[in-house]
Formats: sequence, structure tokens, C-alpha cells
Amino acid sequence: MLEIDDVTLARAKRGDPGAQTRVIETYQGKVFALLGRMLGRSSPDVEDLAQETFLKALRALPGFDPSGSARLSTWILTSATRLAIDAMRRDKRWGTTEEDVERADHGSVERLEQRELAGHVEAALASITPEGRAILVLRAHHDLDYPEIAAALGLEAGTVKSRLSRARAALRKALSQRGIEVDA
Amino acid sequence: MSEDVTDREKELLEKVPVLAPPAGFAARVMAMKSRRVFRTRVMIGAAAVLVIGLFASAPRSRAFDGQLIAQEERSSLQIGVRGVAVAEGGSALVWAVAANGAAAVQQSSGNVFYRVEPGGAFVVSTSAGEVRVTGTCFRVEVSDVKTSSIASAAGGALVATLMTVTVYEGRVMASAPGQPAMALAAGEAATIDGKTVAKRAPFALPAPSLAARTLAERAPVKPRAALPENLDPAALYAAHAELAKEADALRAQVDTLNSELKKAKKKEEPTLLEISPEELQEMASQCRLRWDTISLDHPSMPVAAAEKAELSEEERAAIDKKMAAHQKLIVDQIRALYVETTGDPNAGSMAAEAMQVEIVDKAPPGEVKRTFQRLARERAGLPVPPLAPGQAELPVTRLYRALTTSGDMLEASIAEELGPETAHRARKAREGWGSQHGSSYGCPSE
Repeated sequence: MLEIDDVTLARAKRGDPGAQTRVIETYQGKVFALLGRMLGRSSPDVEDLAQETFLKALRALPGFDPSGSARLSTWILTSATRLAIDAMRRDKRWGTTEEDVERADHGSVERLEQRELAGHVEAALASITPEGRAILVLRAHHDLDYPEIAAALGLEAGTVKSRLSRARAALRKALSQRGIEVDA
Repeated sequence: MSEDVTDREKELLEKVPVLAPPAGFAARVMAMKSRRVFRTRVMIGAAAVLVIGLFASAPRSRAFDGQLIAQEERSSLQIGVRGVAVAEGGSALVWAVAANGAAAVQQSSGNVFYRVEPGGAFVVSTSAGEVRVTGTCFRVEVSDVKTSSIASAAGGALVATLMTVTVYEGRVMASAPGQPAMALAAGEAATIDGKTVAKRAPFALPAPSLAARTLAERAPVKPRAALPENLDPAALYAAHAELAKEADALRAQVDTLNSELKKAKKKEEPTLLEISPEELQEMASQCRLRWDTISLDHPSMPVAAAEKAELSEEERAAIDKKMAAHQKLIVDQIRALYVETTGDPNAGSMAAEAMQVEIVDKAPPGEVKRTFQRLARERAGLPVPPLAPGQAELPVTRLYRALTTSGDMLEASIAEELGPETAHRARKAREGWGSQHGSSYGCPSE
């Protein structure tokens, strides 16, 4: 994943508004992608959580150590993941519903088959527990390794592996119920 | 089942389109940050509740953020940074916008069209009910209707308020006081009479985009019956011509979809190592650079990346050695540039990052932008203005030139020992040498 350059990061840490804006611009796409995948694209709260993620990140930026184990992108995605999990636990309505899938299909301009498939995948993702979904999304979409995910979620690396396995099994089952075979 | 996420699972998960940030998001966060430096989210939530509570109980003539009282002509209003309302003559509304962007509008009469950019809650209330949205286009019409009731039998007709909600884009949640909310999607409308929400017949939305039209208008591919045997040559020619025509039409549709797909893919993040000439040109137009370097603190090839690149232990050790030498070379270059910039010969103990900041900070005004423009244009093969005779490139330009060519230099150095294929595979394993950057300071004209 592209990281912001060292000079801009150093300036952002010192509170330079221009550099902080560039930090947001650099990572906002990844944060929206992550939150959209975790909460469902139609969730009205994605932007709120994205804002919260960056506000938290900017507050904590002076303490970020670029030579530490976490990349800035991982650090920000970790914060977004935690916020999303907390929000999903607080409110069990979070996630994509069948109704959302229907609605999303109407507004899309992609090929019909792809749209339909995307809707099913999104609904299948929504059937996984918040933590499982986070692990799956971070691993599959954001290429975080097990130790990074473990650090993000406060788990042991072994636990991450077993929960990833469970999340994948749940995804496969949910997709299979929708007539989509993962091993096809 | 394999231990890790499989390619097929990734492929399926990738089918879900990525949600993109709305325009102006970074600016909104920065604006919010300046307002929220010392406040917690809980305090903001409480403040918003307080504002809305005050709003509901305040006399109508009182405005917190704005008001429009029944005018004769159509008026266009800005509600906070996210909302625009177009109020027809005779509309009356007052509104408040909380510090977190949440907006509460009380519409007591008239017909108002709202466009709301995505963000926090945006609530339009009338005495009959309310509409809650986060980003969409919709219309609220408030009208008074006469009703009969026990009271009216004694004292005449009562006047009740009827709220009509029409949704043009996105989705809203409409509710009557104390009742569960009903979702209304684009193309739907409902009336709220203070007790219930009743959906009305859907209405026609404007024409969809080109791709949607292409798909919707696509003639269904019908299974063809086999051609009868013993057709004469003329009939065979006719059948062939008909099928060829259909094939052409389908190819044209495929081309259209491919072109839209290409456009959509272009918006996705490109890989660092395979930047197309078009992308380089686009980056040049934005004075944007992307580059990869090794970590200047702890240069090494991680085990996982080495495994991914299928490197042997010996190859990994050789790469680590090259990385260490390259790190020294780059840090020495940065140090020399720092000394040249500051005249401070005691740079021995300074971290590379701190020296880079000093070099950039001490560059003449606008020089960083000019540097990014120059380097981005060079990479795109575009002409760059020549330096004046005898003029050398400034340290800041040489700094970014060193950084942005560092990845290629290291690859070339490794290729000398391990061969170009292995060197590229090692770099490709992490889409760059571990530390990948993308940046722009804007163009000099901005």
C-alpha cells in the first residue's frame, strides 16, 4: 500500500494542516473501502466513522513512530476497524440487509450479473460476526499479515488464524446458500 | 480448506464495489478537527442533542442557524456545509446545524426540495412526522387538510398536517411520531399524517447512465434453433449475414462495457511498479510522484516477502546486504544535501527523516512544487524547462530525485548479483521495497 512520504508525515506530526490534509487524502480511500466492506456500502454511518477515524488519527499522530512495527496505513486501518467493530456491537442492525442489496442493485451501473453477484457476496459478508468480518476484510483486501491483524484486534496470532478460518467457513456457507460455490 | 484466504475467495470478495470517499471529505475532517480539538465525541453528541432539543422547544421565530419564513418566491438555502434546500414560495422552515455536521430542519409549511451530501444525520421534521437521511435528494411538502373527528362534530372541522415525502436519490427513513421508520428508496413517495406512513405509487426517475441503458436495452440472447439441413446457398448467406449482424451488435456492447470498465479500473489504485504512460501523464498534470524506497531505519527483506518471492536463504541474505549498502548510500546523500542546505557540519547523529524535513523546509518558496512538477514531467517523458546556464539543481530537487530513483537503483544493484528476474521478483513481492510513497504538494500554479 502506498504510504505518505516521510517529510509530509513529519510535518503532519508537527500539526501542519496541509500535511494533515494530505494524510487524509492518502488514506481516505482505504478507510472508506474498509468501512464500506465491514458495515455495508449502504450504511449511513460509514462517513461518520471515517471522520472519527481520521480525527482520532490526527490527534494521536504526534505519538506515531514511523520506525515502529506498524506502517501508518496499518495504524489508521486498525483504528477504523476498531471503531467499526465497536459500532457493530453497539447496534446489531449494522451490515447489509437483503433490502440494501436490492436497493444497491438499482443504483449500480455495473453489469447486471456482476451486480447481482456483488449483492450476494455483500449479504454473505454481513452474515459473519463483526470480528470475523474484520479479520477477513483486513486479510483479503488490505493484505495485513496475521501479526498485524492480531495487533489491530488485540488478539493472539493463533486466534486470528482460527477466527479467519471460521469466518471463511461462514462466508462459504452463506454463499453456498445463495447458490454460489466458492470452489466452483 | 486451505489455511489462508484463497484466490477464489478474494476474487468473490473483490466483486463488491469499493466505496469511495465523497468529494471534499478531507477538507471537512480538517474543518471538524479545528472545531473539535479539545472536545470528545460524547460532548459533541450531547451538544447536538441539546441543540435539537432547544430547537424543538423554541418559538418558531427564533433561529439558531437560519430561518426562512413564508416568502412568495422560490428561495435557495444553504443548510450547513452539506445541505441545499430549494424552498418554493410559501415555505417556512428553520434549521440548526450541530458542530458534528448533524442538521435539524423544522419545516412548518410549503414545498421544499433538499439535496444533502453524505455525512451525519440530517433530519427534516414537520408536525406530521420526520424524514431522516444522510445523503440524498428528496422533497418534503407540508399541507393542511381538514379532518372530521369527535371534536369537529362539536366545534367544526379540525385542520391536520399532511407531509408528503418524495425521494429522488438514495434512501430516507420516514416516520410518524412514536412509530417505527419506513425506508423509502429513490423513485418512492409517501404521505405521513401524524400517525402512519403510507407509501404512494412509485414515480418514474430520470434516465439511467449509459452503461445502465446499454444493459437494459440489450436484446436478450435467445437460443437459436439449429439451421435446417440442406439449405440452399442463398438461405445460408442470409442466415450468416443475420448472425454476423447480431455478433457485431454484441461486440459493440462489449466494447462499450469494456470502456466503462477500463474507466472504473483507472480510478482504482494502480500498482507502484507498473505505471502506464497514461497514468504518468495524469500524475504529471497533478505534479504527483509515487516511489518506493527501503526503510531508512531497518532495511531488510522480511521472511514472508522472501517466501512470497520464492527466494532462497542465500538470495535473501544477499539482498539484505545490498539493502544495507543502499541505505548507507541514500543516508549519506541526504546528509550531504543537509550540510549543503544548512551549512551545519554536525549532522552525524541526525535521523534521515529530520534531515529531509530540514532540506524541504529550507527550500525557497514554491521550490518543492516546482521539484515535483519537474520530476513528474521527466517521468512522463514531457519536456521540462532547462536550468539557467551554470545553475545547479537545488538540494530539495536532488533530494527527491535521489528518493524517487532509489527503488530502481537498488533493483539494478541486486540484479548485478542475482540477475534481473530475481531482483524484480524480490521488489514485486511487496509492490516495492517495503516503503512506498505517493505525494503531491500541488502544482506551482496552484
